[in-house]
Amino acid sequence: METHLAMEIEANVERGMTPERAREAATRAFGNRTAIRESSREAWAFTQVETLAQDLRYGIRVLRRSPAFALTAIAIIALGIGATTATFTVLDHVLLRPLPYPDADRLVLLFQVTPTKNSTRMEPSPPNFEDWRAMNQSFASMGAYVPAETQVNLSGHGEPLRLDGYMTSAAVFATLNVPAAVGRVFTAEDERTDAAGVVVLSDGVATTLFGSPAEAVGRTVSLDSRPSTIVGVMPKGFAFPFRDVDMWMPLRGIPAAAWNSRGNSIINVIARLRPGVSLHQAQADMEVVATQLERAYPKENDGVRVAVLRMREVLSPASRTLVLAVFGAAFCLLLIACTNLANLVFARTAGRAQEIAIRTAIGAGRRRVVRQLLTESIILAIAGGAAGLALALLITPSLNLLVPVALPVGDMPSLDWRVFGWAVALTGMTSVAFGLLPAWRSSRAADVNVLRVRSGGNALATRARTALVLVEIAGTVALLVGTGLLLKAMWRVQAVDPGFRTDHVLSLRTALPLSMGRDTRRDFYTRVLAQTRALPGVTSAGYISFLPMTFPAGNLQVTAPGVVLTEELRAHTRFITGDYLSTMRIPLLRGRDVAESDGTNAPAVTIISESLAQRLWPGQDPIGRHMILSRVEWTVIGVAKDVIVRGLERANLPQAYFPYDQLPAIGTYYAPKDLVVRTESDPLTIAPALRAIVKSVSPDQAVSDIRPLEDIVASQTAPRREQLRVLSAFAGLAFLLAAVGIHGLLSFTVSARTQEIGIRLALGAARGQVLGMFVRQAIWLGLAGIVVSLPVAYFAARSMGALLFGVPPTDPSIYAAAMIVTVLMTLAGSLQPAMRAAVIDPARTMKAE
Amino acid sequence: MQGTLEVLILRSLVLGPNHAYGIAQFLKHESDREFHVDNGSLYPALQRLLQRKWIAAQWKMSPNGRRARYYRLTPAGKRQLVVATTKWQRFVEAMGRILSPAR
Repeated sequence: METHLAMEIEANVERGMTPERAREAATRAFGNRTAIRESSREAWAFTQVETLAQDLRYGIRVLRRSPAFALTAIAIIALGIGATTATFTVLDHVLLRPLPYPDADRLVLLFQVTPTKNSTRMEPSPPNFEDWRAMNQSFASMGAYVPAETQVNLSGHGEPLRLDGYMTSAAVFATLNVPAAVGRVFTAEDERTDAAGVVVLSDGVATTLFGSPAEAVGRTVSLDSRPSTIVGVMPKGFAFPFRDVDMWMPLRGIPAAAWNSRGNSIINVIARLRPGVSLHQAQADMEVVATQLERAYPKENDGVRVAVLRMREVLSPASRTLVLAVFGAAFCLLLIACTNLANLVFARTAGRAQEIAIRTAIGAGRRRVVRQLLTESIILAIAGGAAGLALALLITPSLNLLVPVALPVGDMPSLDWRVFGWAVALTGMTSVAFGLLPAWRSSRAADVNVLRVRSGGNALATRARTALVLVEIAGTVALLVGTGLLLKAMWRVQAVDPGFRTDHVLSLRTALPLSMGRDTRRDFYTRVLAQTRALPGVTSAGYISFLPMTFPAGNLQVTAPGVVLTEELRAHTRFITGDYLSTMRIPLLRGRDVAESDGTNAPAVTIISESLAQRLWPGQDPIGRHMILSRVEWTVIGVAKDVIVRGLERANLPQAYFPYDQLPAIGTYYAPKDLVVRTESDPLTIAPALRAIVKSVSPDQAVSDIRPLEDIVASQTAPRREQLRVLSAFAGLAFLLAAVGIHGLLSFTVSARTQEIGIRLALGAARGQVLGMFVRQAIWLGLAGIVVSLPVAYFAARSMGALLFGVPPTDPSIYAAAMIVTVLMTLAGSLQPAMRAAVIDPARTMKAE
Repeated sequence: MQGTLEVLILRSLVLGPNHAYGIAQFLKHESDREFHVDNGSLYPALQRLLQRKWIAAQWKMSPNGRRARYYRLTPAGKRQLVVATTKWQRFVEAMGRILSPAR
């Protein structure tokens, strides 16, 4: 501008003005230089914004004119993004988030294993634990904890509450390294038998009972009828060892006989690795310790080794696989959604080839056209992304039900934004790539041919679309196979006979204080059972330590004099009252049931399960024989049929029942807690009466877990049912999307070949032949997709192996069913376009061209 | 009409690169003084053309020894000029047909 002005001045001088006048005139004529500079700068921004706004407005207008396309695209994007984000959020929460303890990766759990004899993992015994702690070199600290069922009775107020609690040694809190939010945790002092009773509460319970954690500290509550002071409240979100554990008590009060028995697998052990020590090194260290202990105690520790496992990995493999399976399904769905979207966008852009060519021809500029299409894709992506986010927020809570309760992570997972970003990026890229590709090609030159011909169907486009549909079909088949296999596995689990009859039986739990005397206990059971049996509508009632499938531990070693066992034999040990077996309809195959006469001073007797009899005295009559358990010699008085005790899917153990009154001193923990009552009509109707009975016999006794026996068995399959619900939803959606994809492809083909069809019909082809032509094409498509999918489906099935209870991953019936369903789907998707082809009026098609 | 000035600028550069002053003079001269280009419009128009990459700019020494920014047509600009000229001709013809005495 300087130069410009100078030239202007020169020109003025040449015209004859004086230098000063020349400058004056030129400057005035030039105009406001600052203003010019500003408006020049604005020119840049304005153009950008102007075109962007134009693109957006045009894009929205275009999309609004084709609502079907826009809504379908948005729905597909939302589906893919929503499903993937929600599943990955839960997955991340389960598998990848750290546990709520500092440096949680250094926390390990220790178990006793006997690798040479069997593969069961057992809880360690207290003497072993103490030796491990003394002899190891890899752990900074090690602590023990045991579940305790006890009751909290607020001094004077309200119903006695039963809370899930754990007895933890002070070392456990030191190992976890989480200080109390208010107050303190346990010290070694608290574990002394003569120390005052103390308890630490969870944040939730402290708030519920006292209004706030600060209020709770210092209060006294009655625990096991013993006063205990609340010395601390843990921070919000803390959980150990699971969610829903509300209080912690010092580890003490376990009878010496129980604590000093090296064969008594009753405690859980947690430890923290020393800094710089790896898991591998710790495992090797414990190998040495275990061998030394084996030499010192050849009888109890024969073959016993230590398993050191990361705390997180103790999550049962089935649960991890379960969540991974669902994630696989969600990913499948995302893939299918993307392919469907790709198809949709590709087809649409190809259909607009003419429009694009015209616009390029009249000077729109290729970049401009492509950018405008890009804007359309972005609008779709944004709308779909928003919808997907809403969907993810909606379904995350129900997916969260899949999270195993065993994990002590916090409650609700918050949406994983990384995954959301990834999913949006993926769908966005798909729609952009597949939308822009044909657009780029069409706008390359104002191709006159494109202008003339209608929606172009060039070979490459069709092949690409066909490939995409094949991917969709393959994905659907894989999902169907996976879902089918898991469904069958669930049926198998449900079909397992638990060994007892669950109909018309109510169960409830009365966990008597561990310190209660033998006579008081006997009195309790006698009176409760007598009154229960007297209730109208009650057929029979009985007590047992723990109901089957509610408590997998409590398995003690069994031997028999004169019997040589090739490997260690453990029996599921339970104490019962008379009539328990008959209430549960567990058949007594030989001998008699326990009776009141089998009391403390009577001969020690036992009823063993059929499998136990087989192991000890194969082919012989066990009645009258002697069996040794927990250093007591028991006489066999009966043989009962086996029941499933550890879980419908877990390896079973033989069972041994003992009269409740012959409970040894070590076994107060095994004192019967679970009452079962068989009724004539609906079992829940007697629940209030039972509560009343218990209250009248022992007013401070808490009653809990009132539920029909059926629920116990049903809850075994609950996680599977949840999983199947989710998977079926995914499979159903994939099915729908694939059908839509096939429909779209075939419609497109029909439209593209309208002229050809018209000619065929005009030349005498039967309409049925035309219909058949397209139906056949669809079936070929389906078959091709199936062939592609088989290896994928097989691979997926193999990796789900842990979940496939009783079902081989190659189960032919499932694969066959999946294939048939897929073929039917392709038929369904092809029906409408094929029929449309068949009713084409040849005359009209000719005229149109 | 939008873009008229841009087209004119492009046309002025057909004969060779020129600076802002030269372009303004050319337009004034060639239009028989019909168009007097306001600098407030010229400079922004030049920027827009630069943005679209229809012209390119370079600093050079003018014949008088001054440093000036010379603008020249790019190949894209040349094409654009052709397109725009055609459009204009059609426009003019159409206007003419409509405005001319009745047939």
